[in-house]
Amino acid sequence: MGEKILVCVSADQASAAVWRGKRLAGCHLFDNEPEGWRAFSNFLSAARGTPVHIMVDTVDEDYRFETLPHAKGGDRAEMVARKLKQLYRGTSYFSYSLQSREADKRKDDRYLFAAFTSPDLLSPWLKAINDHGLPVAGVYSLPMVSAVFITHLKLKHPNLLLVTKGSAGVRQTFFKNLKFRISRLTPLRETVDSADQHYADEVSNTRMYLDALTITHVDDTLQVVVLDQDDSLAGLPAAISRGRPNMRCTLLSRAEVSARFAIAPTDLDASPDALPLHLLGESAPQHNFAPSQVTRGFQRYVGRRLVYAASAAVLGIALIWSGVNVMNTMRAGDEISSLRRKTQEFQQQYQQVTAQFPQAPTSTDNLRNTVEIAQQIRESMRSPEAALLLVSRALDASPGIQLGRFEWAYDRRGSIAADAAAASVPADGSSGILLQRAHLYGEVKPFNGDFKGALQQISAFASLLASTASVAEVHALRLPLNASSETALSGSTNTPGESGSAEFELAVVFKDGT
Amino acid sequence: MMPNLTFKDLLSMRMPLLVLGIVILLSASLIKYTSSQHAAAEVDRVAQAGALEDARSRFQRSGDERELILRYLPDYQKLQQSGFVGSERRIEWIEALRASNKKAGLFGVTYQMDVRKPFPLLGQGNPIAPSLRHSPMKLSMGLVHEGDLLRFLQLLSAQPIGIYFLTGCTIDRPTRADAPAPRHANLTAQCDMSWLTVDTSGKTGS
Repeated sequence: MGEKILVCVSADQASAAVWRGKRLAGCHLFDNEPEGWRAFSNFLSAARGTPVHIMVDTVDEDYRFETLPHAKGGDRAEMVARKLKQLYRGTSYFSYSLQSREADKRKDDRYLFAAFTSPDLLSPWLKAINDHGLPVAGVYSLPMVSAVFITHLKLKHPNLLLVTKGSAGVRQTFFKNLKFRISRLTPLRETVDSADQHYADEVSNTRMYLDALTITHVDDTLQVVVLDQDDSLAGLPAAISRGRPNMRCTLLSRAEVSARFAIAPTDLDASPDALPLHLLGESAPQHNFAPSQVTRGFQRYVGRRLVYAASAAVLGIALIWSGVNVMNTMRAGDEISSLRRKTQEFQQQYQQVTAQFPQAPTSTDNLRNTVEIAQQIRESMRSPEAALLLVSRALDASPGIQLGRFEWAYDRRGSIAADAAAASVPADGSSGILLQRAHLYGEVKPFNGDFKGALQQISAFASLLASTASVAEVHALRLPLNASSETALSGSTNTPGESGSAEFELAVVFKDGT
Repeated sequence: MMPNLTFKDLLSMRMPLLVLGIVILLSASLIKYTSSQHAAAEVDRVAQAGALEDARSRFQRSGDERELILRYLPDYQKLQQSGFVGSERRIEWIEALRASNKKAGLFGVTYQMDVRKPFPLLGQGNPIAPSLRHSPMKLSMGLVHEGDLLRFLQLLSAQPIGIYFLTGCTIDRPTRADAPAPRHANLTAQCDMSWLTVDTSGKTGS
């Protein structure tokens, strides 16, 4: 997130600055009184929707380490919430963090619990912020923000005491093995002459306090780092080291602070809290003391930003996608132009070549296909001549047989047997092979009622037809007498010579290709 | 992240969600439009590549084409002259019937011709087959004997008036005389034939 408003609140005043482009853009001081609150409100009126990060530098703070049984997930959250409620009934500004696990068998969890015990200090400043509808990102303690000094200055001493001077006083923050342990705030001393000695005594008291709590041993060396951002503590290292062999002191002057933290000297001049504000601008600490109702607006702010970011991402993806599409379309267009040019070249060459061809009334394919289909038709044409010749020869050899009707067909119907299932053959004759068929209607003449003899003559006639090589099959469709057990039979044996005719029907199917 | 959402929370998200919705709509439209443009260009490109391949192949086969023209053009022209290619020549067909009847010495031929329609019996596999048409014709005639029919058909085939395809003939003996009488129509014959043409008008029948 880019721009943000940084506020450092102490008992007497508040420092506020705008964090823009990774640096403080103007730092203002406001007294903790109605006039100062109004001025702060005016300062905020320029900001529109910018999130606010608040840092508190007060003596009304509490840090304590507690050991709780090891737990995870919801159990841990529930247990810690119960503990926080138990420890800090009078405030809703608290925080915690898991520091380590004990080395004993139970391996209990060691927590740091922290709180501001006088939340009223924040009320007028929060009211002004809320009046302008600005989202509060978090409320942090100055010692927690100061923890960043360690990484900035690459400090590695196991017993480290950071001394800083802000608007609220001189802050001593102790780190054991680079982890926060305690922090003390000493009010500022009016008289400059005795101030160094006074602050040195306070450091000495802190040392004794640490020894008393067995956080440090009396023989341990305490590394004291003084950040003198306004060059007012130049005499402090000497005062600390004097008569205290187990304390070593290093002082970073205003110029060194400016160089090491990349903060402009003018910013340092603007407010005694400029340095911690700068660090807060760079990164917010893990411990956020603000209750959820205070950060609700910031959660909405983050939600809005996420949705806007999603919109930008969607738009970006769409633009990239569309860009690729446009590029591919243009590439395809170029390729089409090239293909079209080549096609025209071939067409021109073809036209030049074909201009010398004999004039044809239609395309080459049509020429060939038309001639071929005409040939196919001619090869497929048949006349009834073969069938008539066949029947004529059979009749010559069968004097008792006389034909009354001769039918000849040439189509795609199947065999006589298949004709029984003629429904399966398409009416347009578009399937099957072309076959010649003949249908003969005849009678045995003379007929004197001798069915047996008539049937023998018909059978002989049919056999003659069937014996021809071009005939595939011959079927009797009707006989003078149907002696099949499948049909009924009736007649009279009286005057057989006058009983009628011995008519029959034969179907002849020629072989394919004849 | 934001437990217990309130109306105020939703209200504060109104504008971002509106912007997101508009962005999604715009993006989808943009992507759809450019994608369709690209797809259309791809189709054109493929079609143009096909056209190029056709043109190249046609040019490369132009030598073969010349050979084909020289080989098939004379036959095609004969088919054109005979009336197989192009529009029907019904008058010439009827004149041919008349002439064949006269030469065969028949007693007259009656005919009945149907409208021209697609001919499905032949031409399967040939690309010109959809243009093949036939005009069905029924012929009736009296015969002294069966040989008259064959002679009539041979005479008809010998005339350069197109191609006909015989599909059926029936010969009836109306009387039961044991011996045929001379100069008398002892038999009646009916034949079904199709006059075939290739329609070059470009219309394909159904």
